[in-house]
Amino acid sequence: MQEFHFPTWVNKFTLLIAACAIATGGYLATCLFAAIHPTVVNIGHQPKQPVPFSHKIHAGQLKMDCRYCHNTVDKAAHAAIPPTATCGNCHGGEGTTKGERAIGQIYSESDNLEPVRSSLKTGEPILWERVHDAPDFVFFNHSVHINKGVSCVSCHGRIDKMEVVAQVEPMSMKWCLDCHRNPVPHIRDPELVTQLDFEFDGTDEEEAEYHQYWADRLEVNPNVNCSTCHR
Amino acid sequence: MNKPRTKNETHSQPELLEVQEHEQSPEFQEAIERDFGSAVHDTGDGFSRRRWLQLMGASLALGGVAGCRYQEEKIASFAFRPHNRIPGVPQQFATLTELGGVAEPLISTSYDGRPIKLDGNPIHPETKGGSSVFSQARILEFYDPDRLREPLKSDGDTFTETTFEEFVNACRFGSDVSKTAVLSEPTSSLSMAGLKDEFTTRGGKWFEFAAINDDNARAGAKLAFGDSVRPVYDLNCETILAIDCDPLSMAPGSVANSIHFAQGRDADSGHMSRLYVVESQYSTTGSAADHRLSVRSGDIPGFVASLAAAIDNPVEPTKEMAYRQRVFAAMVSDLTKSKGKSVVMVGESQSPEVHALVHKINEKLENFGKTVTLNKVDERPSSIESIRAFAEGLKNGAITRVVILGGNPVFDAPRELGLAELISGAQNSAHISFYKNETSLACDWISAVAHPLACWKDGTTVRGSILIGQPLINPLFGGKSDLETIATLAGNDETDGLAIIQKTLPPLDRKQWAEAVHAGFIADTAAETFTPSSVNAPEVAASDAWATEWDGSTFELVFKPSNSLYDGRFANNAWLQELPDFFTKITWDNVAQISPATAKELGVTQRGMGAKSKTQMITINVGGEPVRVPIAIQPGQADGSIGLAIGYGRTAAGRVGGNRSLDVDAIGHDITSLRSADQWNLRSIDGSSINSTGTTYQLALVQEPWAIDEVAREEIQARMFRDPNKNETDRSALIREGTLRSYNNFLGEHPDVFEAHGHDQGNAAKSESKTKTAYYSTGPNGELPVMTPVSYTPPVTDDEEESHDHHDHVQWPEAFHMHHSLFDLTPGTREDYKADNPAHTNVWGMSIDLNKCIGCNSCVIACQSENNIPVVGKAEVWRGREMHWMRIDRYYGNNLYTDDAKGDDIQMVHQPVTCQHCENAPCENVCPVAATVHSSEGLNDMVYNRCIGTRYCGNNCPYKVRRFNYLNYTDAVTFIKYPGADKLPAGDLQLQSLMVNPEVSVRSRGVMEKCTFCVQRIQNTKIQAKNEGRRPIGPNEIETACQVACPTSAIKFGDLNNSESDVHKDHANPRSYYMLEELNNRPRTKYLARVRNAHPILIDSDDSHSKPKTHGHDNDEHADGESDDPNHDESGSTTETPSNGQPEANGEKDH
Repeated sequence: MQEFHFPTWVNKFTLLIAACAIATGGYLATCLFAAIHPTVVNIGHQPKQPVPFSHKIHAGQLKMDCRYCHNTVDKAAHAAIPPTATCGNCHGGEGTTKGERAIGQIYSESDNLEPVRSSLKTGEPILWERVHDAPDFVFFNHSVHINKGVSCVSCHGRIDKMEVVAQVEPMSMKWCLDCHRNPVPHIRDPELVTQLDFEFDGTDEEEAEYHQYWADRLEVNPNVNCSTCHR
Repeated sequence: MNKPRTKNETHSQPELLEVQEHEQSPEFQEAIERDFGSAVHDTGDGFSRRRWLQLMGASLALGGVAGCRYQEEKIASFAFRPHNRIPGVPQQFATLTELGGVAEPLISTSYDGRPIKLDGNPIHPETKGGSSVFSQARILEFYDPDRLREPLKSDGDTFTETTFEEFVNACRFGSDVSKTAVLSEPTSSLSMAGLKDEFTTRGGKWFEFAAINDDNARAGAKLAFGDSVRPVYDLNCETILAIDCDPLSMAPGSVANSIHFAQGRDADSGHMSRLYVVESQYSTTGSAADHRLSVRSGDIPGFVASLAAAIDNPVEPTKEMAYRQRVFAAMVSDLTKSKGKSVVMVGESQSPEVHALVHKINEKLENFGKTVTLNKVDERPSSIESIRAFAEGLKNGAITRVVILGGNPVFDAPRELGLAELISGAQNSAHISFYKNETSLACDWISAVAHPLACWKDGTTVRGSILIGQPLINPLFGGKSDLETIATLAGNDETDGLAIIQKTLPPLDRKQWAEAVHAGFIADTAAETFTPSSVNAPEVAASDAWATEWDGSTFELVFKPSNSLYDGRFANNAWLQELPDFFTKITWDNVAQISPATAKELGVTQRGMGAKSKTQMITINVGGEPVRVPIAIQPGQADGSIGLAIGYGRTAAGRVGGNRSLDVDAIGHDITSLRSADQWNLRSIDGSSINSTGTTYQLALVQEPWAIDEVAREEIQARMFRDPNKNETDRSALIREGTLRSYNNFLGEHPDVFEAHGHDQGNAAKSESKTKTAYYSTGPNGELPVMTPVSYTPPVTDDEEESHDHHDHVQWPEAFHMHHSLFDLTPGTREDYKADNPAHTNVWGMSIDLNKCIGCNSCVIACQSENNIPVVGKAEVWRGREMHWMRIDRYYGNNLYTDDAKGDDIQMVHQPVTCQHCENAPCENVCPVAATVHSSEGLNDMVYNRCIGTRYCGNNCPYKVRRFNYLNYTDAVTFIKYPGADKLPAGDLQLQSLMVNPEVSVRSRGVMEKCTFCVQRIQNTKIQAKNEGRRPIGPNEIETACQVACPTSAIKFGDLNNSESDVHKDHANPRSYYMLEELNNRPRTKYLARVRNAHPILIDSDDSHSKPKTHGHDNDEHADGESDDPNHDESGSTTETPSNGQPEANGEKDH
């Protein structure tokens, strides 16, 4: 059988094809990089929860403290999703009324709260969707941040304005390190960490001084060692 | 700790040096293949590379479909959160475990309701937080998917699942129990004793059997005192003589013994106990000995008789005596001089008569009531008598119904009794067990027993302290506790574990009960003591066979508990299977340990060295089926004595230890058939019963003899003991040791040596005044923070005077000194990282006291448990891929201080090695992706996510402490990879991931890992301190896992910057030294030199006058002497294990 040879006129396309291949590769790589960048992947993540719990109503309108529900946040690594019993304090429905005051009877018939009532009845947990998900090789500790005057708002945004919680920060390693390298602007009076709408009343210089004061007083000096977060 | 090798020695060890000759041999090619080629060809378990790539490709494609974001997670919060429970914060509960009829107090760490770690109970006065390997490893057993679940009923050949009710209906004791027998293991549980009493009162028969028992000790005590007592020793005394026993690791109460022993070995106080050991094979106690004679167990009665006679007429030792006689005379002289402050003890291999005679010796030495306490114990027939009576009853029809409570008598009881047939021939038989083991297979019914962590139980320690264990979790696989099962079978009203215990224990009110459960023990409970009025000792014939050369004709088999598997009950525990034996460093196997002379006599060898070596198999024939077992030639073994560890060769252990029905090969060799009821621990045989099979066998060793790297082996050899003739100041010794005499001389010459850190502080103050502003910022109110002085090693500065001070740091032993300080070569790395992060003053460091380490392996298992370290299996260990972050190297050689010992007094040193956290770390420089970097506190951080697996760091680490995940040992489904892992049902694979410590990343394939100094504990303690608003962290507040487990407190960890910390003090100790300091790595771990409290008459030369000339002379003499010594081949200048065999391939047994 006769050997096949490409005709010579094909040669002028060789360079073009090579250039196209490189360009396509570069384009795809850029797409991939952009698509998996934490700011793209993480920000705006807003899963649907089994119970349409509104932080806007509870934390915003009712001004409940974050720690009413997330009560381990200043004691432990996990902020801890509250047990259903905490929901039941207000929404427990039938059988949970204490004395004459119907504190457990708020929206006690609501269909939306059915998972809460059934969890209280059966003891089975409600399966919440995780919104802020640090990778397993990252060991983040809420308590030390809270106790050192870093407000919830620094990482979670204005939760008190969110009907459904969404992630607002990329939570990438660079983002963590930015603050660990320059923590002072995020430090405030630990008493005020859960006050999400906190705004300093004063000039920029006074505000900087305020943050510096608390950073000094709390001896804030975060590590940037690898083993600080990765073990 | 070895003599330098000189040229004229080489002919006595031809196989060690003549590497080139073997280059074309198949063994050598195999070694090359193993070291360089195997990773290319396969992934280790019959899984081709191509197949792997195919699967990986497929999973990548699937991963793409799954979407761009990380896998979404659900959070299942409690419906009702238990009181005081904070999710993710570990809690600790006191509990206990029982082994050998003695309970050990433990504390269990429970993470979100899952027990993940066991440690010694820190508040119990006996163990003070120390724990044994067996206790540590029981956490793995708890999550073992092979454990029994539903009760099973036999249908002839197979078993079908049934219910507990059905089991109880079939096996209940009924009204007439005269023909019912219970066979249990000896237990210290008072509640079980109560149930036993009820049962025997009703006419039932109750037998107790354990393969590792104290029959001879009990019978000996009975003989001596006429009463049932158990001697308890206080090893914090002046002279200890341990005869063929191992009080520091295998005996009941070994943790407490180790603690006391270590207390008496504080060399810095200038006073140490002196430990003599006379034994046939190395025990951990023998490895800690100051003087050790290897004597066949069969000759020990003669030795004890000689001792008893000599105590009455002590003769002062003289240099003219033969070496063994000289040691003997020194021993007698020491014992008689420290009356009331000495201990003599003897082991289970010896007859009751010898035990009684030893009691007599202790009486002569006035030790009773002082160092030897006699505790009353319940009288019971011996294990051997019991099992004989049990078999007899079954045979003659006196017993028709059998309930076997735990244990595995079919496997470990005397085989000549034929228990398997007798039990299956019984009318009804039931086994209440953790596992479906060999005994279960012979029974009609099997019922699962709940794990001790999952039920109420009680127990008693050796010293009689009553322990209470609470359940930490509901039984994982169902099942009831042994107490509950027996109570149910007996038809008792009270069948709840808690109620049974409360009924038995001394009455406690509500508060006392709560306190006892919280503490894990009832305070101030102790055994009733016995004061002997007189001690009777039968005549034992004196003989001096122990002092004479072996005639080459008498052989004996000595059976001992396995240092890993005990009596075989831990055969399915992969951690313990992979735990290297403290001496042979063999994993996943048992061997016949023989001395070089025995090997010569038997005509067996370990050919070649290192990975090329193949050990030979021998057949031992004592009637019945001959037993084949591989040999390991070990120095320090008595000539003619063959040491055999029991517990291996299980055929119904599980997917790790071997299971015939699942086609999983047995691990090791079953040697129980060599034991007979009459000759249980010791059997003398003649040479004709032992034959070389001519076949070879591969062993998986972890302390690597060198396959092809001859240079490395010679370098290690050279670092064992410096040759003063060569004035080798460029090498430091790996192991340093000297005699107490010379250390005391040294301390006399440097009376203020322990003020050294004060002296350092002075230095630090100087540097502080220079650099204070760089270290600290002022507080908000302008106050200066309190400064902890920088006082570990004076910072290197340009100032001549200060550098000079640094050189003044005195060290002992002098023979090992580096003659110039290489620390000056690179100035101030320690300063560099400080400048990076000025406010961090914690400088983490570790110290390991070689004088206290007894090589018990507790730290190795503790580390494995804490840090999620995988098990790799025998084949991978053989390829050198074991993953232990902490290893214990052991070195041995001839007596360093006298030439007369020849091979008679082998000395051993254990050296635990972990990452040294070098400040000038060689691993960090070579990592192309900065996956291993230095933290501001001096930790050598390992960033798993950055690691791309070049293994440059492992290659560049002079300590070889880095471990590489060649395979995915720890993927999400198979946390533990072991021989039968692929035979597990899919759902069970995830079971063991429940045991993972969530504070530590689980590493995957292609990632390097190593000791982190338990960085999770450091970080958590720091966070806790920050949350509580207190600084600084307490001097000894952070404890690493290995440190907690160590019964002798050999390991210290803490802040070198804090002059109050133990580790700071240890680093200033004159005995402290850096391993390989000439490399200028600046390790953060310092070792403290071993001190040997040798008897002055047994020291010809020590380093107290280390003039190079004297040493050179010694060494010349030595070389001559040694080359004449027939034993020298193995026991002479051995460094690591040139005599040890090395495996060739997994699974291949005989060829």
